[in-house]
Amino acid sequence: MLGYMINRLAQLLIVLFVVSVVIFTLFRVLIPGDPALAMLGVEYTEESYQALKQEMGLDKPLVVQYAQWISGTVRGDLGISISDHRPVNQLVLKRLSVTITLATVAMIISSIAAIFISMLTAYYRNSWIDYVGRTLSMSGICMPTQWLGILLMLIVAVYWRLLPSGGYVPLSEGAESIPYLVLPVATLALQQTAILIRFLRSNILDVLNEDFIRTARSKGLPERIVLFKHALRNSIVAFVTLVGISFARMVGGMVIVERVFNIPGLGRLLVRAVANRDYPVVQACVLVAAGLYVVINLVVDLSYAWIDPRIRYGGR
Amino acid sequence: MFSNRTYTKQARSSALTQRILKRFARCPQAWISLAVLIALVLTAILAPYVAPYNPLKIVGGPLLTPQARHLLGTDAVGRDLLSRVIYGGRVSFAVGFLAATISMAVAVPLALIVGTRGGFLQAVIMRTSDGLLAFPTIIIALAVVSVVKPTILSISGAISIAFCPRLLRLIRSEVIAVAKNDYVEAARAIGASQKRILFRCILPNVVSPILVGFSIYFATAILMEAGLSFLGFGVAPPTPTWGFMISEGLSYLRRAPWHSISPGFAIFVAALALNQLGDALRDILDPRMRVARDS
Repeated sequence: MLGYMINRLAQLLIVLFVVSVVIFTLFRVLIPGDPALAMLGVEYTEESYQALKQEMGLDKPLVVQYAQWISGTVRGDLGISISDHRPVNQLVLKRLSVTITLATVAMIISSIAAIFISMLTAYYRNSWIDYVGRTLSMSGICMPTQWLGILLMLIVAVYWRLLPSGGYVPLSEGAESIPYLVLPVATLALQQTAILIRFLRSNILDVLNEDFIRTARSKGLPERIVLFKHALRNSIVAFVTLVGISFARMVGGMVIVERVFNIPGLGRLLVRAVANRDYPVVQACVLVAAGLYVVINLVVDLSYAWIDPRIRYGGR
Repeated sequence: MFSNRTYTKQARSSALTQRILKRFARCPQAWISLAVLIALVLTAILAPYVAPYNPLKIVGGPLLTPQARHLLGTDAVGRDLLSRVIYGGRVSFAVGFLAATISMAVAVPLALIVGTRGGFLQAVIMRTSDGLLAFPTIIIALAVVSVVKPTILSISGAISIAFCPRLLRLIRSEVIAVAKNDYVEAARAIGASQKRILFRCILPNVVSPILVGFSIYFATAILMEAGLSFLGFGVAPPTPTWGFMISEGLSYLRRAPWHSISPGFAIFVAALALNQLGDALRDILDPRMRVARDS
């Protein structure tokens, strides 16, 4: 167990290193001009440019610049926004909670829905239930997120007038925030469920073909126990992995959902920063998204040990 | 004169082709999705002949409802929406095809190297790929277009950065599975070169996951491009793109819902055809998969 955790942490550090090098390369090396130039805007004098360059350490070799940048980042110093001159970490933290709230709620709903629907479709495979489930799942995968969001908005908010068509009220306001959450969460969760079903269904089908399922049935266990204890427990490791990996996709989906429903989350911040060429903010958003992925997948890795005793006792 | 060897090789490959074609013909999912796809691509390529109007010219009143003269209505400045949807397919298919091709061109050779050789190089490639996996596709694409000017090529490039690690994993696992086969071991035992083993023993046996992956990632790239242009970072206007048309229509959702719905439907159909084709190819090219999946 300890060896497993050390191994995971080592891998995590390597991934974080690669992430930081990619971001550094993209925003320090590939940027047209350099960050000091970007920060000064159109009107600047040669002296102020040189002074800022020195202040930002841009006259030093790239390796030193990388070391300075990474030590700042680790301490939570993400620089100053070019467009509104506030520290980037303040901007990001405020927006992050909105995005994480929506993503987490959508993730929980879609995980539960996906488990039930894929059990159903796998159990009644090649029947009409399976057919309907697979068709819906395929449609969900092929729909552009913005389109699905707009269709929901059009039907529920514009024609039926049941819910507001956009905007956001923080969760701290209590019940008032819920109507604003429903449509964006539904958009995210529907799409996520579609993706999860596609993988989970084939996984459960594989498990249902295993010998121990036949044994469980032949010793007369009720079908309910065979399905939910034997089959589900054996595909849960694959499912948890998938949830971890697809979290990245969902954060990507958030960027679009936030634009559709006008939600002030991280995605909107990123989109505005890209439009304004506000590189420190873009860089911070990318870093946070990648960091989220890494943390979620660490949790997933550690949860294996809890789910699967073979890992707990050092079998793998 | 034909040598005996080439003769048998030709005969064998044509028998295989025939068998695959026969399976293809028996699978309606395959030929329907291929037909839809070809129809969409041809419409996009032949846009100047198919589209009723110039997509950039004002040809009617603003936000006309769908009617005989404008089958999908007009947009806020009075451009014909059907023509714009038809032209919009050009960007989507170009980006989808380019992104899938670029990422395959990078991922397949890397997968062959990584799947058959261990050691330091393999570790470096795989850890880099793991690091890249941490970036959500659309976010890394956004980061790239914040640095470079969005053109069809740069958008395809940005999307393929996100696809490469995913494809690399997919194909690498296939390569590893194939490399375990006895015939690879046998080839090595009779002294076949590494090059011969890679290109004659392994590559032909991973063609089917490559084709399946190509069509599914083609679809994903179309969705991704639609997302980027929806956010306003696609190929610059006035070139019509499906994603940006959806976002233009968002402001007129109440008055003119068809403005957003029709380009979205085009994206949906294109992505559906490609995904279905991918699924069908998987069944056709690899009958073992069908047994494993549906039995």
